[in-house]
Amino acid sequence: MRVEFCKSCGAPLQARWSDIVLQCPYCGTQNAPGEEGEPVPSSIPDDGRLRLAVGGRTYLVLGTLAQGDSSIVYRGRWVRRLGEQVVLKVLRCLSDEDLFRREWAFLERLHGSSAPGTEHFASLLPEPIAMGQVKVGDRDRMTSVFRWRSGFYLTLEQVMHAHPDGVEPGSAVWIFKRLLEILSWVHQSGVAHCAVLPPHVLVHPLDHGAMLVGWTAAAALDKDSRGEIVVLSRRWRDWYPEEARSARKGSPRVDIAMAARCVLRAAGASGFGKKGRLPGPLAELLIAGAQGKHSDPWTLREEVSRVSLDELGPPQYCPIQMPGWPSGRT
Amino acid sequence: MGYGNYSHAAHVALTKDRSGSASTEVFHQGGCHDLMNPKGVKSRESRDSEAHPESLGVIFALDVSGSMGQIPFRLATETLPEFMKAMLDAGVKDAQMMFMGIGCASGDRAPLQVGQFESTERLMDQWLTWLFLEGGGGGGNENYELAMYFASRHTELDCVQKRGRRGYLFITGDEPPNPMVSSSHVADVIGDDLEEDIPIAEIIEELQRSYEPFYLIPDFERGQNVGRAWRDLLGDRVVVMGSPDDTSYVAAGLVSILENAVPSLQSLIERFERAGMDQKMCGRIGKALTPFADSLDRDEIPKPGLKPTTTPHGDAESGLDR
Repeated sequence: MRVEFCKSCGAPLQARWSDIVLQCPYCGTQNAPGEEGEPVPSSIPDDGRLRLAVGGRTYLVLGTLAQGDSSIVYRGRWVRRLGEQVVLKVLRCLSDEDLFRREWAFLERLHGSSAPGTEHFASLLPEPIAMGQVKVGDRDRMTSVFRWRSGFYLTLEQVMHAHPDGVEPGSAVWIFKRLLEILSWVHQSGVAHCAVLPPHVLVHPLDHGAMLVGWTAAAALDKDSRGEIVVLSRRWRDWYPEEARSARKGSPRVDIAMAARCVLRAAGASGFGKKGRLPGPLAELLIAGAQGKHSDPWTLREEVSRVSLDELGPPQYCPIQMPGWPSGRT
Repeated sequence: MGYGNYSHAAHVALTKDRSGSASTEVFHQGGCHDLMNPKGVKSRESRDSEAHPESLGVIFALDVSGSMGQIPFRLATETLPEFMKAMLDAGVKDAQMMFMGIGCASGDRAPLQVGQFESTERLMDQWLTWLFLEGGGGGGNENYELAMYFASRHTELDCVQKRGRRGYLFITGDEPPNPMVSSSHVADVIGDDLEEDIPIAEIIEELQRSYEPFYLIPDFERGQNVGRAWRDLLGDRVVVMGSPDDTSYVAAGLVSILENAVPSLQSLIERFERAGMDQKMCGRIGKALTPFADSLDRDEIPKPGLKPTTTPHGDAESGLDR
């Protein structure tokens, strides 16, 4: 057995060399795996599946991952033998096109950041590949293409849904620490996220990993900028601190407050002033963060480490149990 | 070429003898070795033989400029036998290895060096250590596309011609791709007379008919600088490593995954652990290989339960308040 690739859609095929013809389970194309070379045909056979051409590449849409406030998000694959797995974000609400451009500009800025740690932290944001107008459904719609990251697709909202009584305190600690680490670098890069909400936090339940997506509301923190929050998510309005809701002012304090609120609720707290499953001193630290009393993510991260060491003992591997996922790394 | 047998034990002994040596003690060349000059070379051949009935051509095309010279040094002093062992473990009994050196055609004395496909540890080692580590970097990007061009048009592999089975091409580098294979560079360096420049995407399309190409970047920082430009050409075949020390293990892992020698990335890493690799290195290699393993569903990470594709219609109401 050897891995071959469909000549039409680029999907991996499990081919024995004795196979004469192999049908692709993705697009149904008949492949001859023993053939010398497999030039990619210039036209892709139409199997009825959605294909989107953006930035000179054609992507096969594999299915819907999520629906956002103004977008629909697909998983896709660059249709080519040497292809690439991607996420495609397509605009649903046409008047929000400026926000797509805004997100793109901030992601490009962050990927080009000169702040220390960019080579690591940039991998925890969506990596822009291409953006363009594409006919989807009945309209031309702005579409952004990002690189797919293995294992990063569960939102904190899904985690909260799977754990209505809250995740383990140890898991809450690593989620919070990961968010604070990313935010520290983001703020050093002169940017505030301004929408750290459960659907924008992706967690890797086995690897203690977190990513921050949904950058349409991001704001610049430089001296000349007001750090204005241009949009608020109606559905999550109550999760924004007051200064974000009324003054529409983004800041490191706002990002930390929203991250702390996310983690408190993920730990089972019924409100942003409640402790959920967290031990008292740790909960107090998060509640203070949620109330806007911290403005330096790295300092808070150090405090979280210190208090969790006292309360929970040395850091341990603490995967989050999610349906369909293994219980941990062996 | 490609006659003779491979001995892993002899290969380990050969590299071990050099541990502690300086790079200049291992690589003596002060210019391109006459036998590695590609000018006028018609073809490098990887052929089946009685001893090697199922030859598989493997090329390491190594950027030898500046700090990239670390990779050939580590291969020659420690890690090449590990790559060969992983090939054997992956069921590739008749690997034939060729080395290329890549520099800059605008300023280097040896912009492309080309060895021969070899099966024995002595000859593999000979071509590797005949590489001239020029170290300059010339006046532009390294000309990786010349190595691709040479592999596409100046190699002949029995694995492809007799069995329709591609060889492997691992390019190490840290510079972005050049957009074209320049006809003047090809004329100067290889001696072919091309009517016009060849777009790099075209030469990659040609290359992937005979080889499984991979571009290996030595660390995350350089991955951040050049990864996207290479992914636009090679997709998930661009591998960003945690350290240049990991090159031969990462390449071995890619072969093992693609040859189905391991059921998953996790089992590959367990194999490395059992062989005594330290946990930190295992972690780095696992991270480097994850995107490619994921592209083949070999990362042992559950895939998202996708909802059917629905396309948006009309102008939906925004869920955002301005």
